[in-house]
Amino acid sequence: MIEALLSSFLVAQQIAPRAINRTSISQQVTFSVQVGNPTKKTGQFYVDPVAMTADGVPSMEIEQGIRLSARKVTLRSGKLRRVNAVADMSGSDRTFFVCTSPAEPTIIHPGSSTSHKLGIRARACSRVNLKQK
Amino acid sequence: MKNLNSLLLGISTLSLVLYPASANAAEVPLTATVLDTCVVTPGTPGTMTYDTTDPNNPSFEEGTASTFTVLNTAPNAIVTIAPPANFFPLVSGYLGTPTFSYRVSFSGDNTTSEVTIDNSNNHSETLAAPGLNTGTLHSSATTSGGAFTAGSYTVIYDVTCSY
Repeated sequence: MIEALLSSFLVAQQIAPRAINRTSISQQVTFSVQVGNPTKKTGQFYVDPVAMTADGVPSMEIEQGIRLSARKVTLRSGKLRRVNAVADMSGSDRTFFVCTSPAEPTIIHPGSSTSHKLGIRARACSRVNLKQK
Repeated sequence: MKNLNSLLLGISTLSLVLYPASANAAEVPLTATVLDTCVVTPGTPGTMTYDTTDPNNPSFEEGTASTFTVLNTAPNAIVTIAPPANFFPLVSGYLGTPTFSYRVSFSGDNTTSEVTIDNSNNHSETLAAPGLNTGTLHSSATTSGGAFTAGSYTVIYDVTCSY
């Protein structure tokens, strides 16, 4: 009995490089951007992560052209998030990007497989134009 | 009463110090428009296969492809694919430096020819037309360490869509 267990253990050790767990990676970064009542100096952005899955929590970054009250904002699925931003509107219109940062993928190990996992981590951006009425 | 007046004076002074610009901010209405959006959604995870044919030079060979979809609402969306610097998570005992190679192509409203990228370099693809596209990515890996230690290896590629 002990020999059988030991034998199984040794086999498991020998095939360890091939006995790879199956990994599931799930993340969706669909989101919409709305802008509400901006003034000359400040604006508020409403980010609606409508289709984001519950197991992915990307943060949002303003790429350029505008300053955010907090550089990174955590988004949670189904939660409308208001973000305060400050724009320098002197001279011309401003165009900037609102992007999600890649979230750490959710990895599940339901069992063994003979393959190693290859996953995708997504990042998406919307382009917003801000101009004086 | 004297203490209360001192407290109110202190609060007023503190407000001026903390928000000096708010008193001068002009309230000029602006309009904001979302010009375009690009969405990347991971699809089916792929696999790599560990190859021990050459024990002195083991590698991860291509297995099944990993897929993702790209929905761009405006032309000329730029999709950037970046291989990782290492496996995720790091595998205990593995001290080598991996090098990733991959093949990627798009099909759908923008169909691109397949390109092969070696040596862990990034790749950018411009999707000229708006629409829905499916990206297909195969990956392989080699190591400078001479061997991969036993363990579960996962590779995560970053796919970014912007304009």
